[in-house]
Amino acid sequence: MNAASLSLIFTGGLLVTCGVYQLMAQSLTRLVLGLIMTGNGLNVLILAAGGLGPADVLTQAMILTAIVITLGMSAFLLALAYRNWQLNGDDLVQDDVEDRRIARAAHREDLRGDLRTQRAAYRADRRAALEASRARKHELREALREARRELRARSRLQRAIAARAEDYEYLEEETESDTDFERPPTNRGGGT
Amino acid sequence: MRALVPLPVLLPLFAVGVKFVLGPRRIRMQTFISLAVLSADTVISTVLLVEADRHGPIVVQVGNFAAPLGISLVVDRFSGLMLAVSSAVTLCVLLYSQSQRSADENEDETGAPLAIFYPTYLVLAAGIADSFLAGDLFNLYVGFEVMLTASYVLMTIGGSDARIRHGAVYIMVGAASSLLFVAAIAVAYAACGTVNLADLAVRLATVAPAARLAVQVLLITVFAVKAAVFPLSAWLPDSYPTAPAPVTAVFAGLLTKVGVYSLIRTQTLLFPHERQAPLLYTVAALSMIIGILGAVAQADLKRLLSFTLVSHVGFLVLGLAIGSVRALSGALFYAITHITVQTTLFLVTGLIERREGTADFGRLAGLARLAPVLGLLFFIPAMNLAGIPPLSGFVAKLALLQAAAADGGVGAYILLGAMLVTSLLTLYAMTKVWARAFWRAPGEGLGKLADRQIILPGSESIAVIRSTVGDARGIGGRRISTSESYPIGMLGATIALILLSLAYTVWAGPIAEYTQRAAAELLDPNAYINAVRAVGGTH
Repeated sequence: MNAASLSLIFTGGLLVTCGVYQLMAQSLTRLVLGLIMTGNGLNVLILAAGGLGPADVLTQAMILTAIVITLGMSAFLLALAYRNWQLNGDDLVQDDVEDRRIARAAHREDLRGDLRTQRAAYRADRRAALEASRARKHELREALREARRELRARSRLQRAIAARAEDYEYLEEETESDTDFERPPTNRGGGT
Repeated sequence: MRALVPLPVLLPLFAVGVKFVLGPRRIRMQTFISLAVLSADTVISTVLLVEADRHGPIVVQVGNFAAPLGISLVVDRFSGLMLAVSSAVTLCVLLYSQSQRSADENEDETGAPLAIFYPTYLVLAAGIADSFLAGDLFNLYVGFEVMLTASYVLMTIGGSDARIRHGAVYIMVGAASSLLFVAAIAVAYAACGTVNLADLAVRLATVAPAARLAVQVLLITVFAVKAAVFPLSAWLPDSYPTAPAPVTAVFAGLLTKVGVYSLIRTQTLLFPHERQAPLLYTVAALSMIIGILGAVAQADLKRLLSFTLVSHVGFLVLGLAIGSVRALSGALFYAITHITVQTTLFLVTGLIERREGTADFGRLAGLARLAPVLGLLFFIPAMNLAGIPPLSGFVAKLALLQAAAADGGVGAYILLGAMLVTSLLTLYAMTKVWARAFWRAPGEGLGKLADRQIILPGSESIAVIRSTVGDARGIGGRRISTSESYPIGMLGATIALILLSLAYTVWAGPIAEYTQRAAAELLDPNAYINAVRAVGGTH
């Protein structure tokens, strides 16, 4: 292997590397550039494969054919990029339909997830509020019960006092009229 | 007899030249030329098929240059079979497209797209024939390029938005795989100093195993992209459905099969002792299963059929992976069946679009009652694709199943299971279409796409909203004119293809014997090599 063929291989490799890098772009114009560079790099590699002697006509014939094909392809792709620009204002190659469907489904799933967390948060809020109101209600009810109990106790006390007072009145009446023993103790326990 | 060999390539190319001289105005003359050329192609390739079967491979050194320098064209049993079937199918699809063109009255106004459609179609036919005939790797590359470049034009014809967008993906994938092909040729030439297939077969046996492996893996990758074998198949269901119906039909039937043909040809001829069975087993099984699962998920008939195409290419790779005479014979039989059936299904889809304006089977309903003819035309190839007994798809699949069982390895049995599951799911997918589009009561679907008119607030003008989802477009990119009657040519071409697939069933015996002989020939590369080497040139 001499220096000339080594430099050919190196050049070809470099061209193919750059071309493949360009081929990963999404813009058609860049893709055309990548296509041309890779094609030319491969042509140089075919030349290197045949050796540099003047005898090998086959490599040159193959390279010539490959050049013509790459040229035609580039022209067609440039026309395509132009038409795409005319129609859409860009020259981007679109994503795969199934990819887009999957992406859309993923997006929908994301949204659904968001919705789910929001709903959970809302539900937690509601539950907390409910809990709080229930506690408050309980508290109020307790207070009410307490108040009632107190009221009842007080009324009982009052009744007791009243009864005592009645008893005293009765005794007083009794002492006033000793004759009437049959009179039932009206209002007793009824409270006034 | 040798004089006939280059004709399937030369005749269409010559006709293209004549067509451009005639100009686009003389439509009748143009139509006649196209039909005559492709009919002649069909006759010639049938004659070649019979001759190659009787007397062994027919070899022509173009221009009388001897093998390593000149271009060899070879017809053996395998390429003869593919050539004959592909010319018959291209002829039928041409008839269909001619009829579709005359049925879409508004199409003729588009002018330019139609003026290039038929010449490009003939170039495509020439490219396909050249790929089948090629006897050296570089000529195979040129054949592929002729075919692919024509297909790029057909894919984006009319230049509508959808076609440009989807076409860009198709073209870039095609161009990238072509670059890989050039790389494969460079490596092969560096290792062996020749690109003639027969010479390569001899010299590859003597080079370092690493170099041989590099060439083999590069070639497998290139042809796997062209044939849409699973990990490299994502481009196909994306781009095929947007093209006009006849274009999709011929692409689906033939382009992937050219890839499969090249895969089988190069693997059996150049690497008879390294089958790379584990790799091929894996991709075949994955293609079948993942392809058909993709099909089951679709709602559009064209997309569904594109996914079944990916899936059924797996069957052909499977035949190569097992690699016995029986398996290859089954694969060849399945290849011709599948070419015919898949093309027919896409043509029927075109007929459905003609009637309903869409192929989205959420919208279609009651076709079995409204259009019983369509029902019959769809049912026969659909059942054939699923492999229902008397039809040829069943015969071919049975051969493949027997080959897998006879092989007896674990991989073969996994493939056997994958095959059965795929056939079952194909039947499921076809039944789904049938139940939705054909069997529902008329009116249950979402109905035809109508132009919705809305009156804009604050003005007198009426805006017409056209739904762009799933509407069918003709060859030139205009919306097709729907009608209740079927143009005679479209119907005739579809019926002719169905009759062809039924003929495979009726003459399954002789065809199976022929494919057995072809497979035996493929597995014994010496016949091919000796035939090419025996024919020297004068230069």
